[in-house]
Amino acid sequence: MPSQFFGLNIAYTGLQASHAWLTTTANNIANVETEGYSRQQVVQEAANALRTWQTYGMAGAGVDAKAIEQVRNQFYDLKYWNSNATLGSYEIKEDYIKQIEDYFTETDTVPGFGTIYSKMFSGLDEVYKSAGTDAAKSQFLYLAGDMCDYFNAMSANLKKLQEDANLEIKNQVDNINTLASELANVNKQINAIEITGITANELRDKRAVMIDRLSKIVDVETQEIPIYTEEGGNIESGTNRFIVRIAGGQELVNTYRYNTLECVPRDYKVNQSDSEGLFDIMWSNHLEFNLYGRNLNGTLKGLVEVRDGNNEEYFHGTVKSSQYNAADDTSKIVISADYDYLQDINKCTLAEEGIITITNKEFKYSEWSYDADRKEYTFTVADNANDYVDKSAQIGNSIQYQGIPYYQQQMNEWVREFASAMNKIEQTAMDEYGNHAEVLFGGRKATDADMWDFDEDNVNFTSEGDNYYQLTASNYIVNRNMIRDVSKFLTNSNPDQGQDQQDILSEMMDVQSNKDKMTFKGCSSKEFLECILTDVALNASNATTFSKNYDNITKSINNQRLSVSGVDNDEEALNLVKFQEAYNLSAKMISVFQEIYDKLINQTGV
Amino acid sequence: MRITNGIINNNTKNNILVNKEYNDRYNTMVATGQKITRPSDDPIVAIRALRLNNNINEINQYYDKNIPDAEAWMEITETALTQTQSVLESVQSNLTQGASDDNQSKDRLNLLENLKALKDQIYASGNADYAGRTVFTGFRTGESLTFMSNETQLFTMVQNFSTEDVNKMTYVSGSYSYDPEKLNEYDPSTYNQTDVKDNEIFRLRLAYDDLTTGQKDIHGGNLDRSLTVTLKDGSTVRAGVSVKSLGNDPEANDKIYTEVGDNEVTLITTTGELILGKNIAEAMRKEGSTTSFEYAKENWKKNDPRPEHYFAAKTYDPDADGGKGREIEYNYDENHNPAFKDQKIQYEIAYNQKIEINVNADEVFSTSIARDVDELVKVTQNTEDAYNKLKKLQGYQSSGTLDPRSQEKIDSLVDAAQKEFDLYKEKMQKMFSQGITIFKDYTDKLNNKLSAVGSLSNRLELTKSRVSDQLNNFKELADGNINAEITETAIDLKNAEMALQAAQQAAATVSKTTLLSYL
Repeated sequence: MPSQFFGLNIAYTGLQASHAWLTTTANNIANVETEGYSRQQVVQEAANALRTWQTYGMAGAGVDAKAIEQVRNQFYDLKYWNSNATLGSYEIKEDYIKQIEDYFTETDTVPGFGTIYSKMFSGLDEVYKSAGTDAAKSQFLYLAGDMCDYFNAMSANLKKLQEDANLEIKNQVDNINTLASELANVNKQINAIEITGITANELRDKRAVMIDRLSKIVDVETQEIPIYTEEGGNIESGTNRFIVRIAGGQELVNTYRYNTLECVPRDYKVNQSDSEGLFDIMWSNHLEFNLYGRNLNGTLKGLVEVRDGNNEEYFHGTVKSSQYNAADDTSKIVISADYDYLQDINKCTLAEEGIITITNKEFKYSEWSYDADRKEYTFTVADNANDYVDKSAQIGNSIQYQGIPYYQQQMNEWVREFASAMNKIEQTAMDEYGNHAEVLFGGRKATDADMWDFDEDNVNFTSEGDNYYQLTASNYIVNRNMIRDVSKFLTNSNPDQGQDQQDILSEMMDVQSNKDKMTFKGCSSKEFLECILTDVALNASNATTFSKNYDNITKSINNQRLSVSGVDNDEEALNLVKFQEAYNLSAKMISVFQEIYDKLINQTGV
Repeated sequence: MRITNGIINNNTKNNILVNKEYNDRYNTMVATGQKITRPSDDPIVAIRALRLNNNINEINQYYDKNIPDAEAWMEITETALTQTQSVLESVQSNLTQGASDDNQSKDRLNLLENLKALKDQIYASGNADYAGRTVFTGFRTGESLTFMSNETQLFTMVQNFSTEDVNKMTYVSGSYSYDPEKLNEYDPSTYNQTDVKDNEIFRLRLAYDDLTTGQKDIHGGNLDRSLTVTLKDGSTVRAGVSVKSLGNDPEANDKIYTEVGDNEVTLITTTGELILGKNIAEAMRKEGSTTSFEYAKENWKKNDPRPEHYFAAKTYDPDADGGKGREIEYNYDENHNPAFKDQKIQYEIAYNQKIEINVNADEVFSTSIARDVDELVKVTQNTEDAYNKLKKLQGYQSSGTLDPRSQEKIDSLVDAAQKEFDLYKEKMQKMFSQGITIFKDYTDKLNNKLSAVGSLSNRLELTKSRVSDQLNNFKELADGNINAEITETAIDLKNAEMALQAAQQAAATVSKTTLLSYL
């Protein structure tokens, strides 16, 4: 038979368990609106029964409140992080592509390319109808200047946007770094608590919130490995190794240690029209951080795609030969241009100088040239590259997104096509002394007041030559000499035939819609905006749709998560009632036992 | 699934947000009247809108600018041609009068005055301009059709001739310049009425008279002094051209006209005529023969048509190129061969539809109009002169104060003068009646052009209404493409509003009560 006082003890465990429940409920209710808080519950079981050596067998020993644990399903966390990363990527893309869309959009109130372009050709039509009058000519040149300004401004806007994306990349990298250090810190706290055998519920929630945040910036995966008391042993110490990997499995946090990322401004450009000083990202321990990996996701991916997206048109090829010049420690390497877009000067996006990567080795190139007959590029690179023949070389990376470099390239291509079509026609015009006309459109030189006028070879071209490679949307201008002196804009192939001779002008008018004179992505010149805006609008609509979708998905996963870990008021109210009742009953038990003892001790047999 | 307060809250929030979004969308649609606010809302609609706007811009250019410009241009052309038409009609009525055989001296004087005045008017209307741009001068809208003042500038020009350009003219030779003081020197046996003859002469008339006597090109070298006639079969007949000028001596002048070798051609610079020798004339008169001749002229009178509007011409502009001077070739091709052709100015008045809006001077203001009038003036003058001479001699003849010898001489001279007068009178009559036909041709040509311009105006009018239709069509399409259907959108908006209110109401009730309310 158990002790006379055994019942009091049983009642006491009930009191304890109910109390634990009541405080847990209080805690749950208090945290009902806390972000990331998982509801907690008391794990209780019937205490080990006592052997009483009586006929009735074992006597129940009350209840044992074992632990207060959080209700959480890791599987939903995983799902949430994945979906959140994709959401992050689309959200940021939506944000940026909408800005690009704003730049390109043309509405009734905001004149865009279409208005400017058709005004220019209306101006040309006026010249066509009265070629003799300087007023019409200067009006046309002014309107053509408007179009140049449009492209200059667009290019500058996109450059600015690229800088914004670049800065935001830095911000996000800083966020990753901060989160990494906080995660390491929290890991330490968790282990310090859990080594005592207690679950650090609140800290675990806090860690999960941090990873939620991280998962939007960059794709994340975590791994928790229990640490055993001795090497190879099987007794868990209660502590865990907690590893966080980002960007396709690159280790960010390993328990108490963490790596940080660093932004290194480039002293070169990948694309001709890139902004200055875009960041390359590296690990602080100088290991390479793969920014262009297929598995990268999250805001970081969105930003990188916006900043560097080239629609997979990047320079790459096989090194055919290399010739080392020991005198100045340079090599001339020849690379075959196997792709259409590499064989057309108008599509060229190579920076004047930059870095070419040949099987993981980076070479600095200072100049290059293109040979159209052999379809070969020749780069002058620092260092001896003789060992790299037959290896594959590339500049930049293939990025399957139409980002800012893509739109810059499209504008450059259109501007080059258009300028060369118009210039070709204008240059057949002659003045009365038999001199051919100058170019109608030129390129502003960065360094001096001079102008590119493309008098060099445009089939075989070099990075330094005066050819259409030098023309970009940002330096596109109307020949200044013509603006200064309208009469330099010639409109006759033979001026002695009279000022109103229309041959040159009628050919120029034809450039608008005749695809033999100019094509741009299979469209005529005036359809430029339609081509570009189709890309922009589809990308934007795509980004909107997907970010909406993933927002829904993420929300629904979050709801699933809440379904498990969320605090419910009614449930807690019920718990409150339930355990208050239980507590009251246990308390009643104690008073009952007290009465029993009173009877037994004070009133029995005395 | 366990539904917690959080889930309900999230979902309620979501529902309200979604409904708000709809509200916003329909509200914007109603407010702006457009289906989309940005291209990504509906890329297809946006791109189609661009395309349609493109079309509208293009058509606006036709409708607002090109067609009105063409209309104005043609109106001016029409006015100028109508003016010319009335000038030609006046010439006609004068011609009819000149052709009658009972013209008296005062009629002839009258005719002379009229014709001289009309000649100046013919080209004046050819100088018509639209906004400072001459309409009849092809691409050379900056230049007037005629010289605006008397000018000295050397031009050489190449004129082409065909069989029809050869004309047979009557040249009255043997005119005696009578001088009463020198009646003694006159010998009736050496000069009498048999010496007054009418000669048939074949000639090519150049576009201008008063050519340079030297016939040098603009660099001072000699021009080609030969004339090559190309026959229909391709064979050629070549003749040397001798350059001569008329002087004061009638006898010498007669020789210039009448004594031309069979295989020779004489250029008379004073009158701008090529007198053809017999064989050359024969070759030229064969059907299908052509030739061309280059000649030089330096002195221009006000109202002379400028040669560059009619011929391949060269001149030298000494002031050009900062005083260095420069040779100008008008209507030469790139190989420097003469290549005169009409310069047609085209306006695009609808998509891919161009019309030629201008009439070239050589189509209506032919240089031969002035030459014809000049010659009519001249023959009238000649007739009048011959008449005056005859009157004067007849006065002597009947004065009765002369001795018989002189009387005999005067009689002979009167006979000669009478014959001269008769011949000139006949020539004048003939030329005037021919002139009626010739000027009828000019008028016909002009009328043809006028009706061509008229029908072009009609076509323009038609195109205008068609373009206007097109414009409306495209505007309708553009509106239909981008404009929201207001009624429908308003209903959608109302629905969205109600859905939002419902969601809000539901939210208010769902989170208000908990279990605690009932405990």
